[in-house]
Formats: sequence, C-alpha cells, structure tokens
Amino acid sequence: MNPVDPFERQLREVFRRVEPPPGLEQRILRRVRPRQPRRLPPWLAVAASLVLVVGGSLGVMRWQERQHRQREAERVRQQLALTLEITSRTLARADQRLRSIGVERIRLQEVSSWQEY
Amino acid sequence: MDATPDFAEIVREHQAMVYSLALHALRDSAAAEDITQDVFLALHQNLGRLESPSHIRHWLARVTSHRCIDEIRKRGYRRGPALEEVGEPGRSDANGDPLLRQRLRQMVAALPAPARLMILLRYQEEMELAEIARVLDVPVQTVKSRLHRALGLLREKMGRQTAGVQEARS
Repeated sequence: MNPVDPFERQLREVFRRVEPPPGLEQRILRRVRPRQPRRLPPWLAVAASLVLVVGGSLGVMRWQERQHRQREAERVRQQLALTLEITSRTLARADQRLRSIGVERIRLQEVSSWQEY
Repeated sequence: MDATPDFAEIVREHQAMVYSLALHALRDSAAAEDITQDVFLALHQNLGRLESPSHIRHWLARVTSHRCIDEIRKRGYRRGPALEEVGEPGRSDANGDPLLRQRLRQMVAALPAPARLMILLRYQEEMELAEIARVLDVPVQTVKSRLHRALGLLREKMGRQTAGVQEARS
C-alpha cells in the first residue's frame, strides 16, 4: 500500500471505520445473555419449604392420632362385648341354678306338707 | 460461558470493525447490524477456542467477510449497476468530493463479492496481502491479482471522474 498515492489515500478515507449504531453493544450482549427465569429469593424458598414440612408433619400427626383413637375405640368395644358375653353366661348359669333350686324347694315344701298330713 | 466483562470488552473493542466491514460491503445498515450481531453470537460460542487478542481479531474479520460474501451472493446483491456500467460523472458532480466519494462507494459495491471484501480489508483494516489471503481462504497470488485488477478499474473510472470534476471547476 502506497501511503502517498492519492487514490489509495482516498480509499482509506472513504472506507474508514464508522461508528456503530447506538445501543448495538447492549443488543449483542442481550442476545448472548438471554433473560434468566425469575428465581425466588432464597428466604422465600426457605419459608415455602418450612411451610410444606410443618404442614406435612401436622397432617401426619393428626392422622396418627385419629388412628390411635380408632384403635382405642375398637379395643373398648371388644372389651364391652366380652363383658356382656361373660355377664350373659353368668346370668344364664345363675338362672339355671335358681331354677334347679326352685324345683327342690317346691319338692321340699311338698314333702313337708305331706309330712304334716 | 456467561456474558462476562471480558466478552463485553471484546464487543466494545471490535464492533466498529465488524459493523463497518458489513456496512461497506452491503451498503445496508439493517443487514450490517444483523450480521454484526450474528458474528458476535458465534464468537461467544467459540470464544474458548481462541487463544489471543490477535486471534480474536482475525477470527472476527474472517467470519464477517465470509458472512458478507454469502449474503452478497444469496441476494444477488448489487447496490447499483456493475462497475463497468457505472456512469461517468457529469457536470453536476463538480459540486465536489462528497459526490466523488459516494461514487467511489458505489463502484466498490459494484465489484464481485470477493474483490469487494479484499478492497475493504486492505483499506479499512490496512491488512497485508498475506493476512487477507488467510482471512478469505484464498492463495496470496489470488489476492494480489484480484486486488490489482479491481484497483485498476477503480482508478480508471475515478481518474475519468476526477478529470471531469476538474474540468467542471476550471
């Protein structure tokens, strides 16, 4: 390249670098760095996790209590049923005894009344 | 890789080169900006493979030149008539240099795509012939002969135009 050649000098002037349009750099960087999805702030993520954990724990505890109460109720029901069964048998035996005693007394009374004659 | 300050600095340093090459080659500012953005996006994806600032500059010139050549060929891109058809200046061009400069731009824009980029790499970026050959992936002798032919045509046209201007002034 001949620096003193007027034509080449003219070419350098005509084709010198131009200023890029305003904001071009930012547009390029925006394309390179796309917008990140918004993330929860850390404290909010921790709070949400705690709510989930506590809520879940409470739910489990209530369910366990309900299970316990149901088992207790069943146990009491079974005991009551057993008690009623025993009582019923006892009463039946007692009745039987009483009936048998009642027959003998009548007989005894009959015998004694006969003896009076 | 994030858009780190290093990459932003590279953009700031080289955007004028890339944009100017594209603008002078295509004479279309919107197309020039599109190419500029695409080239830097490609740079960002390939930055890890580039070893030095001079390597980056060479890479940018190379990719920009090839994108411009592809764009010119794709569109059958001509801004104005072919060089041989560019008219001689009339008396109206005697108003001075701005018109001559504009005519020079038109003449370069009328050159075939590779010759156009050779002129721009030579006179905008002041590259030596060997570097132009590496950028455009052609032999040095090809650069030499095409540049010589293009400059000859341009000189001839501009010589006639300059003479026309001088005659109009006198």
